[in-house]
Amino acid sequence: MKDVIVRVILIIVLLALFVGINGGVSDLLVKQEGMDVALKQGKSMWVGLGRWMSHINWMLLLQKRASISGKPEPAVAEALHRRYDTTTDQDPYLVLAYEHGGVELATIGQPKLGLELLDKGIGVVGDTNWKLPSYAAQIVTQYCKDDPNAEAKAKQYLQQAKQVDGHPFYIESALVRIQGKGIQNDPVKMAKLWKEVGTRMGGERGLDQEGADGGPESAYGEYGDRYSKQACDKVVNILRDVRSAADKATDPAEKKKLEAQANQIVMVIKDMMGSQHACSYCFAEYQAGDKFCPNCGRDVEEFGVCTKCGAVLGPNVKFCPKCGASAPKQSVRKPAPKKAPNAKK
Amino acid sequence: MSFEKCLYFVRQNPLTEPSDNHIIETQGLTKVYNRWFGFRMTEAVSGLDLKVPPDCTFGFLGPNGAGKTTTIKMLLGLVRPTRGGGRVLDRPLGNQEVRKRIGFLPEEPAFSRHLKAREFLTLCAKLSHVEPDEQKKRVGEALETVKLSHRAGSRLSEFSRGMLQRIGIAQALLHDPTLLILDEPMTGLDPPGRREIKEIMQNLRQREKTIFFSSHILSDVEELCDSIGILNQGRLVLSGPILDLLGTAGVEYTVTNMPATLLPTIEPLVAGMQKRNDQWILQVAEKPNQEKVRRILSDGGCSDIESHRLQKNLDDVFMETIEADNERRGKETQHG
Amino acid sequence: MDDVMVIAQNTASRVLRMKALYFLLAIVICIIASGQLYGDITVGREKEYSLDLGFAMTMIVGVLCALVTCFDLPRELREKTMVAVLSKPLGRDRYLIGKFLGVCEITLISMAIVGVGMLVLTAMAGQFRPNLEIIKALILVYCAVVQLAAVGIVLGTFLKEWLATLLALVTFWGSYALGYVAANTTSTILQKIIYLLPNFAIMGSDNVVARGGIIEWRLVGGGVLLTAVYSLIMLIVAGLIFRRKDIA
Repeated sequence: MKDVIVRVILIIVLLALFVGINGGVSDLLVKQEGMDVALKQGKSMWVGLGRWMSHINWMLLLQKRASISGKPEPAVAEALHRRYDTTTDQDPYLVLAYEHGGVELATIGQPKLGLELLDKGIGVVGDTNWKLPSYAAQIVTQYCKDDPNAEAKAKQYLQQAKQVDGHPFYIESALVRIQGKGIQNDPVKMAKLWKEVGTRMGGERGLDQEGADGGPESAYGEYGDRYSKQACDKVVNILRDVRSAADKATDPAEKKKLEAQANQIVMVIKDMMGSQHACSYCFAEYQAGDKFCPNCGRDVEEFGVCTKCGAVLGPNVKFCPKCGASAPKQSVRKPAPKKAPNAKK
Repeated sequence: MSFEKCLYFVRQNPLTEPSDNHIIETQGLTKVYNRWFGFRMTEAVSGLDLKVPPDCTFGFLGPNGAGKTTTIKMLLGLVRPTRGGGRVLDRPLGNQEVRKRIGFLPEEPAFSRHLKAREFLTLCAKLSHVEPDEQKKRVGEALETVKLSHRAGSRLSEFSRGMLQRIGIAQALLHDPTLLILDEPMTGLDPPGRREIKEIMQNLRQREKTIFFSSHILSDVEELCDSIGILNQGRLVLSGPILDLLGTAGVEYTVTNMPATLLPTIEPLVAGMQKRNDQWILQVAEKPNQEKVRRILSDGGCSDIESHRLQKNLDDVFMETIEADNERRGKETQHG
Repeated sequence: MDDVMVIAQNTASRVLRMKALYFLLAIVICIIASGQLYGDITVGREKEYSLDLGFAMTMIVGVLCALVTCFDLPRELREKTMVAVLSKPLGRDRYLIGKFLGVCEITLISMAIVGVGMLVLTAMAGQFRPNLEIIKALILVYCAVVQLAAVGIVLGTFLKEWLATLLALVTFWGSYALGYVAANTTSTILQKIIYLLPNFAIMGSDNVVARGGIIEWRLVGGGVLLTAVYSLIMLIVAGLIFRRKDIA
């Protein structure tokens, strides 16, 4: 009898220990990067076989899709959606399934189901994947025209996409297209809109990262840390349009108004560009060491480039603001220019 | 007080005082099987008081389903008694250490059939805590004893029932136990097999081992045992040294030239009479009758009287006991 | 300790003698090998597919081997081979430990065969090189499977084969699904209750590997410790049940 009691006590002690360890391990599991999301949501019933079963379902899906042509019956589309749903339940990181499924369901006449699937995907990988929200925005604008909230929804999706590192520029232009409705004729407002939308990562992050290396060059060019080059180009284009309109204007009042507008836009651009090798009049890019603007021929302020880290140096600086190396006496040309200066276009 | 000692006192059962006289001793050993959560209870063994003296061969008899196997399993600690207790080799029932000194042959020799005979015996030797350097020798000896050395490399799955029985005996003998418990060692064997096993058992008897075996082959029991116990429906109905139990069944007189006039007087007194040529064979059971018959015969002038005592047959004793017990039970249930 | 190892060895050798095991292993290896052929229909996901297929197969083989604990005790009881073994001077606890260790051994062997097969096949196809992360994930899968074996040995002491197997699988499934509920719930009582169940969710770590992540060593250590403690608990519980059992 006594050893039974000893054992029972031992079991209780060990169980207490086990609960502690189990809690710790479960915490670690939840925090473990790349862990099964369905599990984290507590709805997995695939006991570790989820990913494998998702592969099988995916292959079946591919076969099923091949057999669908044109716009099928709603029931067929629903069945297809269910299968996409199961597949992504089994492996929530199967981004391919969200992408294909969302677009496919929209094209076969079930944009709502497509959006549902994309929403599910955005919930899982939304903070690292810009494709899903941008697809969702496209579906909303293209297929849900009768929805009164379509625009607001599309805007929301696009803003979500804009938060993600490495998103392409067309996300921003799409956002401006939506937000600029009604103010297209006001170049100052449009320039300000571009300044607002073109902010990379939404203002704060840009400010946080001031002085840090920029993101992927393809998306942002070398135009500072906060604004993409393309956004700056857009505003420069607006400025050029306003100026050429001002040149052509015959009415002095009209001309004055346009010139005032151009000056306001110049302020916006200067804000956006910060210190850059750009002509202070037409904002065309020039190379370090150039004396004249390649676009308008005006004298330019000469900025140098840090010989150590390649950062653009402002006028009359003694030290590089980025790496602290002493600035060269003479302005230095950057070793290999990435892009030709953006000519008038 | 050490932990071991503590446990010893905890395990001490007032029913199981140590005794020096008996190898196996049980008091009120009872086993009730509960089926269907206690709605159906079967009493397999009830209130068994068994005493087996040392150095004897004890036959444990009883019809099928009497509770022999259950008793044996309780002795070995395989089955927990519901009530009562006992001591085997001066240790309480179910003691682990004591099993080192017990060899056991189960009723159905079911062993790991995928093993070869030698492998199986080595496994048993290891389980019986035989010293590692002795294992090989002991296995060889055991195989020799049961005459299976030539099949040492065959798998048990290829063995016949009789061979398995012999392997079972070999595994019981491996660790040189003081007490052998054999459950139905003769069943399923052909006559030569039975004789071999009887020989093995007789050898063991000469080596002063205590053998406790159950059987319902009465002739074997009669031949081998010093003491027997008869179990019927879970109760021990008879137990004691076999010679005492058998006793005498009466006297047989062989009378030559008996005058025919004596016949009517003798006839009511004898249990059986038979005429063979000029001889009369008279069987007389009861003692007073024996006296009377003898007097009548001598008075009648028969001079040529041969007499010899009739030994009782174990068969008769067994049947009588069982029938008497069943009758008694029948009455009990009627009254109850 | 010798007698425990004898029981373990005997259990393992009995399973190793089953033709079904080799059949299973051969089929599983064939399935993993055939994973290479499915590259085209998975649209560029053949690497992931091979890896996940390998993990899934390893897990299935492990679980099937672990369920031997559910079968073994009731079978030995039914075939009465247990009578001969337990009449030897061997404690019932030691017998259970031996059975458990034997099943762990057989599980390790078969999972190692499938795991190595998977590594070799995928390396031969040039899909990915064997790396430490895969080994870590396999260790965690093994830990989960050992916990299942421990559950099985408790159930096997008092249930019939099929019932024990069924219940073990239900426990396996339920605990896996509940593993994360505990981590996400706000109710501490519910959390503690769920934490009483074995943690099978650790075997989900193959997801991390398939996604190219790195499994923390802390997690591996925690998994091993957890499994050891849980197996110990289950063996003591099984011992308590089994000691009352009549070996009829």
